[in-house]
Amino acid sequence: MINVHGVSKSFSTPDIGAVQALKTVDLAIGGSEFFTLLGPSGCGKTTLLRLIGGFETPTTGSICIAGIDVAALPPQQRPVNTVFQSYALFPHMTVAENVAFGLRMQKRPERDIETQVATTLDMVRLGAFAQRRPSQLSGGQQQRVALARALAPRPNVLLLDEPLSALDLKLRKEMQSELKRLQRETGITFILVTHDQEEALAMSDRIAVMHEGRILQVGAPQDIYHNPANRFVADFIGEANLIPGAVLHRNAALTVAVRPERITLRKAAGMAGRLLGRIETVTFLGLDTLYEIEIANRNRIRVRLRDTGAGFDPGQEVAMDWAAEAERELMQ
Amino acid sequence: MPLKRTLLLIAPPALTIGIFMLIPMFIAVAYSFMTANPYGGVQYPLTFDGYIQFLFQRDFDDSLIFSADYIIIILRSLYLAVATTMICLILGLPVAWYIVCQSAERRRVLLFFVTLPFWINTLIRTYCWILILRDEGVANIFLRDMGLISQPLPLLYNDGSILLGLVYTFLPFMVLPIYSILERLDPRLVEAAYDLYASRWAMFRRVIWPLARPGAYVGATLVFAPALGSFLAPDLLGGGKKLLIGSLIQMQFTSSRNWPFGAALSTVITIVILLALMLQTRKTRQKEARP
Amino acid sequence: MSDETVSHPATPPRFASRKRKAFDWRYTPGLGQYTALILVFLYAPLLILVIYAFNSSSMITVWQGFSFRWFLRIAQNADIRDAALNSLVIAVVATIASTLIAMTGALALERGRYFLGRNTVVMMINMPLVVPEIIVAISTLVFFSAIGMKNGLVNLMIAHTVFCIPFAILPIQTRLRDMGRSLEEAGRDLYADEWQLFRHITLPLLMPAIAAGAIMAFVVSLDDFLISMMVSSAGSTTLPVYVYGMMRLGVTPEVNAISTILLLVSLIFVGAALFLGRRNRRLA
Repeated sequence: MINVHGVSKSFSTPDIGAVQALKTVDLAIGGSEFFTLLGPSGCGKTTLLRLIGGFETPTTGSICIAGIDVAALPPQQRPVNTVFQSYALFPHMTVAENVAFGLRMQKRPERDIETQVATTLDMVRLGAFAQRRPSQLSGGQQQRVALARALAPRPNVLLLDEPLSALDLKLRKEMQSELKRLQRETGITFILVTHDQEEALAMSDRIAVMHEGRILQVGAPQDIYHNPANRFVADFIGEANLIPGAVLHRNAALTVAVRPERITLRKAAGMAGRLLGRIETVTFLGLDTLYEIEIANRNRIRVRLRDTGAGFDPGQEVAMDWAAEAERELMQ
Repeated sequence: MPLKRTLLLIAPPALTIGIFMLIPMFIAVAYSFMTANPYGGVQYPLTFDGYIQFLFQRDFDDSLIFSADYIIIILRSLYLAVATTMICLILGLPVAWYIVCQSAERRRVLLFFVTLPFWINTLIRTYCWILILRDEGVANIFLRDMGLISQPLPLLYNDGSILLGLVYTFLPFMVLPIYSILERLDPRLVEAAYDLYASRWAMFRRVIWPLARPGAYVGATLVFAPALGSFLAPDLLGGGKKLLIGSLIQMQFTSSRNWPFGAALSTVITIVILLALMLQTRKTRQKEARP
Repeated sequence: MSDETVSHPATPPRFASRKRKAFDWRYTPGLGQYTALILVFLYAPLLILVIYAFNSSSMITVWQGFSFRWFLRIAQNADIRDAALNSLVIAVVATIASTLIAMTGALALERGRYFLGRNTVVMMINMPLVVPEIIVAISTLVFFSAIGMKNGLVNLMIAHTVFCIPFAILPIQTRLRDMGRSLEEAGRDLYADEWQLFRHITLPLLMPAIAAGAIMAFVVSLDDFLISMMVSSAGSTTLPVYVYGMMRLGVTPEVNAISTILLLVSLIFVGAALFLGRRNRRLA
């Protein structure tokens, strides 16, 4: 559906000079896919989205949507719609007029527009609010209008720029499943930009993890979670203990990543595990208990154990173990 | 927006102001080097007469006689413009500080009332002072009724009344720039100063005034430039007897029909104002460079 | 030394609350009264004018009761009516022209690309605000005489258009800046071409600011005196120029009444513009 090939983007600013926001990115996104660009702020994910949307022109490279090179096309000529971070609803139009806007601009027959607006508003469960103004709606409702407006013209691709960041936690969870449902119902390719790894894991078919203008890893959520390609991905997605190779008597250039929930603890008395350490703090988290353990060279290991009653106490010496398939050796 | 469309859209304002304001100002400079036509307008040959008249009068036999009349007018105009600027600064600074200290709602109201006079006709604002200052004016009636005077005081038609009119006209120009710079002040700075045992006066001298200074420079230019070229206050409140540059220029283009001299005078005040502006920019920039 | 210094650490408790008030840096004793005094200084003269205008006595010094007679007398003065008509025609033309010019300028400056000489153009647009009126006045006079344009009314329309531009452009530019680009990007994303975008998104959102700018331009044009006096010819006298002529002849109740009218017209229009400006900000 979308092929990004060799795309880079530099901005020139008066005070700092040229800044390379995106460094030669290649990416292929399939049809009907829920694809997420994930990374910390400033990693280039929004720039990549704006390049696909047509709001910026790439410095180098080509972008193909449905087989057509769109790099030189303005946004209004791309079969792509965007849900903006701040929603960007037109304040001088009603909800229905907002949703109808794209269809009107495409000069669809008025009858089609009416039915399409009605079905789209029903789809986001806002049928009763058609005649309201955006300023009369709550944040969550505005979010749905923005979605409906972008979906109404039935684009090939829907771009979502941190669409849930302004909502509170409960509403965010609700909208996550709502978005997932809409994507399945419409079969439209969704490209979501977020810095929230939990959100990315919960919703995506595939995730691209970005950092400093590069794509570090592309894969399904489980794949990325269990097989991080490097230190950054391991650290950014979920929680990971990054253990220097030297501590485990391996190659010193290596880092070994192990998730806290994959480590088991035993009393150290005479037993040799993979690692030995002393418990520093014990934090009760409800379902789990988190142990922070100091090992050699002042490194710390975090271990999460399902609470079984037989706990460990601060100051206790423990041995740590994990299955071979629970660890990843990372070169960077 | 493509460059071509940007240029197409900027053309209307740029051309209108360029053709009908910038070019005329250059023509006026050119006119200052022409010879006066006794029926108004100018004619050849090119001369420096317009500028020579600042210091000399041409006698009947074409010899030059030194005359200080115009220099005195120019100096008086400068003196009144500087005095207006200083008085506006002294009167306006506390007002700006007071407004900054208020709640958002009260700030808006106070700003509205400080800005409003700007939009009221200067002619009428100046005229009001005639009603107050003339022999049968409000001030004299009040003083008479209080039994303080028996003969009306000559309040109108002197430098004092001109100064009053100028301060009245331009005071808002001083308050607004100082306010807008003090508004950005970090309250913690003031609190820190008080915390370090600063007295009110020390706080003003060491914290508020240094911060307000760039705004004061902008305000000073905004007051000084129009005050130097002002026409209405000297004309209506000075009685047209004691001339200032503004009224002198106006006369050259009407009753005196000496366009080159008028153009020379206006060229000179333009230069003075440009110098003041450059000074302001340099001062403000220095302030910004030094944290 | 000040009392704050003395009272700081070792104040007896019962003085603490009183002294703490002195510590509030937002409160300076006497400053409120002083500011009130300055506001009285700014507005009392205008109030005196209005009171005089409604005084039925022809003797200006004595109050003889409320009356509209001077306003009626002005309404019957044909010269004033002609001058008012001139002022109105010039103001309407200058307002329309300067607002249109300001709109294109604001769009170019806020949405356009950087171009060589942009700073020069910005300075030029602000020139009418900085250059003293007398210089603008004589330059304009000299210009029209040099090119031989003698139609006073047309000359005034052009001159007024020029100095109205910066007043009209300011609210439009501010609005474009506050609005940000996301609404226009959304419009573009939803298949609007450049013209549709302007027609359906940018223009409706700018409308309050355009109206505010137009009103400011109208008031500035209506109020202008010095430039009008220098540029106008026999048939194109504007109202302020005519009123100035009356003032030169002496203080009369008619002058008070016509001045009051000009004052109130300015107040009403500026009030409307500021109201629009506030609504503007709320929408953004």
